Amino acid sequence: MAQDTQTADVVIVGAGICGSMLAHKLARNGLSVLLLDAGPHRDRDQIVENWRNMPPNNKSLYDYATPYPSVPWAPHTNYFPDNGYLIVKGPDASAYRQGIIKGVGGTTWHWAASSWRYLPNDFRLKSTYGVGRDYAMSYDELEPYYYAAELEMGVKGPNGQEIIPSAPRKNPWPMDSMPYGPGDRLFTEIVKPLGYDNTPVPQARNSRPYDGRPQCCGNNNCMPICPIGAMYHGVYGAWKAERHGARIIANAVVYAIETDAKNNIVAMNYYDPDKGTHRVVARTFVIAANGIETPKLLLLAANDRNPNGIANSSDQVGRNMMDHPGIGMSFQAAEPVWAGGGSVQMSSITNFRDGAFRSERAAIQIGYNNTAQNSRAGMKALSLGLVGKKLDEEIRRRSAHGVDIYANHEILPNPENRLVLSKDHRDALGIPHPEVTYDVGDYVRKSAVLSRQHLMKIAQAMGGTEIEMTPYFTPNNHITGGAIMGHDPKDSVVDQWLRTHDHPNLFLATGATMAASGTVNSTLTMAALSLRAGDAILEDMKHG
Amino acid sequence: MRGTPRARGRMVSRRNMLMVSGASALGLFAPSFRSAMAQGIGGAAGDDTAEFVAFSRFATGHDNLDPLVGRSLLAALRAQSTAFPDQLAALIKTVADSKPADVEALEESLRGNPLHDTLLQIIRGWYSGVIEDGTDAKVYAFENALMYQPARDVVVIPTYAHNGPNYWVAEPAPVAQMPQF
Repeated sequence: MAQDTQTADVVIVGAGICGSMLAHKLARNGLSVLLLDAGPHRDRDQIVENWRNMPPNNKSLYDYATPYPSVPWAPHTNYFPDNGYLIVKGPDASAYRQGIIKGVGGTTWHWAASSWRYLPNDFRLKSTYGVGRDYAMSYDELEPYYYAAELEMGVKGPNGQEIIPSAPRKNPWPMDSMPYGPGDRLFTEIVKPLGYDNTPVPQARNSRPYDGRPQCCGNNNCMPICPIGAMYHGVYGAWKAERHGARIIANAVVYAIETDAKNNIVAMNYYDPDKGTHRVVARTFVIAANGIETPKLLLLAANDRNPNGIANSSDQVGRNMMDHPGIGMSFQAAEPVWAGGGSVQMSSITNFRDGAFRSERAAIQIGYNNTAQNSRAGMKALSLGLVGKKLDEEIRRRSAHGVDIYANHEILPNPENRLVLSKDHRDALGIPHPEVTYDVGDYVRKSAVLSRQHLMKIAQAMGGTEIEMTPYFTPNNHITGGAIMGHDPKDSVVDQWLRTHDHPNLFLATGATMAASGTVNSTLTMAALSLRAGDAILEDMKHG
Repeated sequence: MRGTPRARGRMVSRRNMLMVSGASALGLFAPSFRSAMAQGIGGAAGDDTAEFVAFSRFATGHDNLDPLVGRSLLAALRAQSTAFPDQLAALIKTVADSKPADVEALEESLRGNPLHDTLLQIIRGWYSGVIEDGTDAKVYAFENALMYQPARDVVVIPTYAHNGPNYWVAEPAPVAQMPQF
């Protein structure tokens, strides 16, 4: 029996960007909200210090996890070295080694803040192209919530610039884009004659002081931590929710869900770090963990009335796991490029986000990575055994000429790409680790052949030497799928309001509900979906 | 946050200074104690560090080396290998005896000699801020690690502010124009 019980109008599990923004919206509208997160509170200054005190080799290999220590009661992934938390299997296991952070604020503590809207056709992939799935709502229905999320996060974008294809907008971006640095300028110039339009990425980053946060001054450390908070993090939503009376409980690991005869959710139970048990009761419950932790919890919380897992009468919980399988390329350009001016990602080639070809192969996004090359340049020059002036010159040369580019692919929802609870790996609380089997499929592989040609064409146009391309698919942490939306309760987990088909008072505010991966970063879409779910929750409350 | 690591360094420095002063005062009356303190504390911060930093200036080709980083690196290199003090002494003697024009000449003359590794180890320490591989390696210098200096006029040392917002619209300096550091 649980030791204590806390009550609220709404309990939200997961204080990442979706849960925090939703908590803020509900608390602002007068509801009592309890926001639980499995991980601890995180402190920006400490994370900055952790990063500075991380070995340079980790810095040069883009280790974004080590500055965020994983806690035994709520482990998250770290691949320096692999801590074994997320078990990946299948032909493209490498492409599902996701980076996630547990703790208040969630994984947007480290992200590049790319905040795209999906295209209308991303919402109707099946209807338009005969592949994948349709969302349970149209782009137009989500549009106002996209804008609400952009206002809340502070998104800057290319106002006044016509970019094709683009998602239609009723309002301009809250802020204008900030100017490119030398790297993005040169890259844009060089790819233009090749037929590629390299255009500014909408970003949740301040190009002027906004919402009490400062303007970006180009510390170029967005991943793994913006040292000044010019970039939006989920934690800002959590703090705003708290100011409106929401209560946040960190280190609260939900593990069980109680249901009644009508399959309403009655209570949830969580462990504290010492495995003490606690019970929370509410009228409405929301699971707002990411696309890995949400299906994991739903499966873990199986009970007598729901033996295959909560919200899982369709058997779709933990299925259709998606991301954007990537290909990375690095080389030394003939001209100095000087990566690192501004934020780590400022521009992108989006010509291939949509088109009739999507009936056969994946849409792609090609991008220039503007992360400063100095850590990598230093370690590489040292490894060559150089000394004195030659060493300094080599570091400067590589800092100036080093280039990283990538191609990311849309993936189709495939029920066989599946998350299950590990049978043989458990964390310190005895909770099974997530285990994902992943195959990117022929839809991606067909496009990847072309992506490699695009990347090579660009490298050659830049006079690239030391060209290296990943022979496998890389993960992008754009975690989608796992509890997919749809109109039919037999083949989907939630409806268009993110309400679970099985449990009238349980919502899933998470990228796990996204029915198609699109081609670009998924965060803004999951945030907009969560704000939209908030309207359904508020409407429920009006009617008792 | 800009000054945090340095601020911490200053604190260590002040504490150490007090301890050294205390040791000296006590030492007026207790020679054996003074000797023990010289080995334990004064030794790490005193002449040995100065000697190590002096050699490091030659090994890196840079004069402006932080003695606090030098003290930490020296202690770490000693802790890593008991042979280090002898190897350092041998390197210092080699420079004194053969008077190479610069570190390039020294490096070339030491190829095939075990001291070559020691030389590169010292250089790697100053440039990368670590003396070991691996994800648990202790970091002795970040923003003042030498590898961040050759491009510092154009490329930000990550987490630090290079200049005000939009500084990056300026044209970068030529690659051939090495900044002084």
